[in-house]
Amino acid sequence: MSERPIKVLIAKPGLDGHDRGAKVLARGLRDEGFEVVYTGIRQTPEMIVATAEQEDVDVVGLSILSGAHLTLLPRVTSLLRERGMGDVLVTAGGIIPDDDIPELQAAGVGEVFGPGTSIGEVATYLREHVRPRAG
Amino acid sequence: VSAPATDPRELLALARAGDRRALGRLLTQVEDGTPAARALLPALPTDGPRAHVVGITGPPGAGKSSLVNALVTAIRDQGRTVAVLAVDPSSPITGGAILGDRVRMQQHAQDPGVFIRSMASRGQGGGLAAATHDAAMVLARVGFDTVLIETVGAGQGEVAVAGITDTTIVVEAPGMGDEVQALKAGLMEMAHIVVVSKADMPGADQAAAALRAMLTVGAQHDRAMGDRPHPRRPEVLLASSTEGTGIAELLAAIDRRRPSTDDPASASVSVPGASSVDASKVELRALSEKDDRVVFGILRRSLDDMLRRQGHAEGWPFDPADDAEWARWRPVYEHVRTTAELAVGAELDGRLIGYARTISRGDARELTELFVLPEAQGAGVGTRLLDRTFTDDGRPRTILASRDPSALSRYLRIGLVHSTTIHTFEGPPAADPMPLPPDVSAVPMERSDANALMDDLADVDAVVLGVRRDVDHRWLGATRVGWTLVREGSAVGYVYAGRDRWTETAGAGFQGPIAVVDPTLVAGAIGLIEAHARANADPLIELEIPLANRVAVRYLLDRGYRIDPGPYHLLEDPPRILADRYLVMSPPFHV
Repeated sequence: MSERPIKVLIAKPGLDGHDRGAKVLARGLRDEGFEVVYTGIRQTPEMIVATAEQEDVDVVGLSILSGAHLTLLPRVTSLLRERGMGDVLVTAGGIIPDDDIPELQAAGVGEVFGPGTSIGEVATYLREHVRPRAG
Repeated sequence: VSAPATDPRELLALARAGDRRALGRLLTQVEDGTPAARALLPALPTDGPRAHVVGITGPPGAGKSSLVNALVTAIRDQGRTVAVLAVDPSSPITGGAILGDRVRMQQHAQDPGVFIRSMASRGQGGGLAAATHDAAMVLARVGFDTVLIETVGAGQGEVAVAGITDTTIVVEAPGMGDEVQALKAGLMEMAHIVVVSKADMPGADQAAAALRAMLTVGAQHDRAMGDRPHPRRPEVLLASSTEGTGIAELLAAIDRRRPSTDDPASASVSVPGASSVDASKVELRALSEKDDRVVFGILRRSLDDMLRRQGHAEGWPFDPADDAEWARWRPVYEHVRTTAELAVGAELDGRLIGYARTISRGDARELTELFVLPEAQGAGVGTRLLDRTFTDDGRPRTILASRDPSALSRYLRIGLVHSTTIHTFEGPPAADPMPLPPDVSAVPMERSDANALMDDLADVDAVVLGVRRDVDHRWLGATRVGWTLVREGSAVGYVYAGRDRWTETAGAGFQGPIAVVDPTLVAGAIGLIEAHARANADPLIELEIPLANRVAVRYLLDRGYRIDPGPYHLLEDPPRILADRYLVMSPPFHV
């Protein structure tokens, strides 16, 4: 099953409605051979985790520009762990100050991609860090 | 947290107990086709209730996702549960996909009575059927009241949907334009319900009226068709997902079609394992001439059962003692038998219960028939016959397959790919047949030198089919009227027309095949058949048309021919028949 595409959920938690970056990333990852579930804007952490569960994704990619990352992102990772999905890779992108990154990573968030990151870098990171799949 | 379960049987048990995480993981294994997941499918429980499986298809932009979302709301308002399977195409180049249908459904993401799963088609073309079918089977048996399958629609996915659902809904938006007409024509015959979405937009009422008119014309033909199988006419409904109008009516129409649990015909999502046949006692053996009539009976009983399961109440009944019916079909049977490469029967306690037959033409093979008696289906007999006769040996392969879902899954799994769907178009021969272009002449075959004729036909077949098949042309020449089409001294096509000797008794006018090296000659080739039929005062002609043949489809629809039920799928490995230049012979035993 090594050929199966990696399945990624791209979600925008929080209240900002700017989804251009998320859509560009979704298309870019599609072109890199990923299967990308896109759910649109204004997703709560609970919606994101329920979606990850139903879709059985390998990766949750969170795009956040609203400044609420220190609240929302740890909420997603802790809900995932509660639901037995602690092995799902969580990454973040958007506007996140460098000073906040250690706190996010301590909460279980993987790489935090700042503005200017290329799609290729994201794809390479995901391929290298995604959990192995059963079956 | 303990280590998560990975065994599909364990995941299934957890999923049936309501564990959504387990269901999500199980569907991934089904989608990936892991050996353990494939072994699970025949073991799915067949007792107890199963979901009503509803397919929703239509062209991109028709509003399918919004309609699904509105239906989910309406189903939940009644306190019932629902699963959604949303299929989007994979990029054929990268294999990636954007699965965006959830955007319109996320309001239901956290509702424990709703389960939404996106699936990429993974570039399988019509092979969509395999993974979608399997996922639908699982969802139908884990406790949901209704399963909605949404497929994007331009050609292949929706055909697959029709084969695996109890109820098929085709969604059309007002003002979708003329270019979808051909697609629509193929889809409509599979629809149980046609929904004109965006009913709040201008043109919706007119679109619904036009569709109803089109379907009424078909109903008039039905009455002229006597006892031949013909389709039920779909309901046409208007709905607006944004305003919520028409949704309750649509749900009521869907629920009216819910299969009753005690109706044996309701198992249209095939449930393998239902058979009582002990597969270990079934023996395979070569068929001989002596088996002809028994074999024909197996074919007819299987087809009759399949038609009934697909909603044709009349089926296609066959009395094994009916000598006239056997006499009518015998010539084509004998042709296939005498030119078969492999002919294998499956025998249980000395009685044939199934068979498979292949022919070879040039370097290519075709599976002409694979049938198992209805009561013996689901025990693996078909798979054994297929393994014996049609595994990949490097030569190109072709199957004209019915829309039976388990058969399709079987064929797609051994590497065949959907090329086009074939429907019978029928009606009285039109009064204004298209003439051939002035530089093309139709030369009656009986006036040609036999060897030169075979070479001419082989030249055309080399372009259109990729094989030489003298043996078929000799048989066609002996049973049908034929012409070669000649331009500047070179053969550019051939046309065969009925009424031939063996259909004369039934009065039906089977036609074809037609092959032309230049697709623009298709209309003139059909015109030749129409003119011939009118000269003979034939009341009806029937043509087997690949829906990918745009010229033929438009020509026939413009002249009022109607589309018969029971489509066939042309499956190939690798694809090579040029469907825009070829009309299949009927009955479609071989291309």
